[in-house]
Amino acid sequence: MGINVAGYKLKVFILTAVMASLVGSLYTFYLRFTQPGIFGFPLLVELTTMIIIGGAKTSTGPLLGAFVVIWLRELIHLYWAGYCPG
Amino acid sequence: MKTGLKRKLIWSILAAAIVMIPFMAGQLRTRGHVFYRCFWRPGCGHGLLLEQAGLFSLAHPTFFWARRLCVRNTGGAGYRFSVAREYHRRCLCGGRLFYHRCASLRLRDYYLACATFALLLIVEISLAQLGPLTGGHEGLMGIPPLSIAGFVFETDRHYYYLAWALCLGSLWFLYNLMGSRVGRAVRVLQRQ
Repeated sequence: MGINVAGYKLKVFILTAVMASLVGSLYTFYLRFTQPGIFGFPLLVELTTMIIIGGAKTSTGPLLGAFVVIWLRELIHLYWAGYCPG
Repeated sequence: MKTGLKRKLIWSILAAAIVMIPFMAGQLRTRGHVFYRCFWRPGCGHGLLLEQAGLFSLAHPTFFWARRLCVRNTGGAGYRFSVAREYHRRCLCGGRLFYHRCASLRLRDYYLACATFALLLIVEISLAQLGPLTGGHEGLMGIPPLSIAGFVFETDRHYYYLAWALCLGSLWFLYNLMGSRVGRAVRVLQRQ
């Protein structure tokens, strides 16, 4: 009896990895472009920021975090493009 | 007003707003919504499940990219399907072995974060070095648009609705999962 901790950890890792990979495939089709550099550390920072801002205890937390981070980025691209080129 | 009716009304208004946003907003806003939906899903999976299990993995962008690579190399004609398939198979085997070792070694907290971050860096550098397959640092272009049952997703609006469908589907899945036996076990892991 009891919980197989290692097995459950592995299942959680695989499940979240599958979710990330599905979105990755959708995102590839959307952008029609792919590059290794932009999906390493920058994406990690974005995801972690979303989780920290929104909180991970509920499923609406990352939703709020994603909303804030992505829209903030879009607005910065829109209004500060002249000041921060690239 | 009864609670059930009020809830239905709120959900109906939300659904109507979701459907109407692309028609009312400009292209930038629609694109922003697509990005937001796309990133929310791994963010939610990453955050909800890993945090509720008391784990912290930094390697998930690796999976995000690995799938992109596979789609890119198998989605169009003229690409190195066999090489991509072999590489993807090895990635999956390596990743599974890595996580199995991590789990069996009882890595936790900062140690698990460090180990998964190392995996992220290793895969990122490896992908950048595999020029013929991944395009190296310059990346790959010309990926064909997504097509499901003959319907081609080409515009931002198409992707907006698709991303919302995936988002709501994953939300429903996560709610059900966290209420199931596996979900309860995951919560117990965090308490430990």
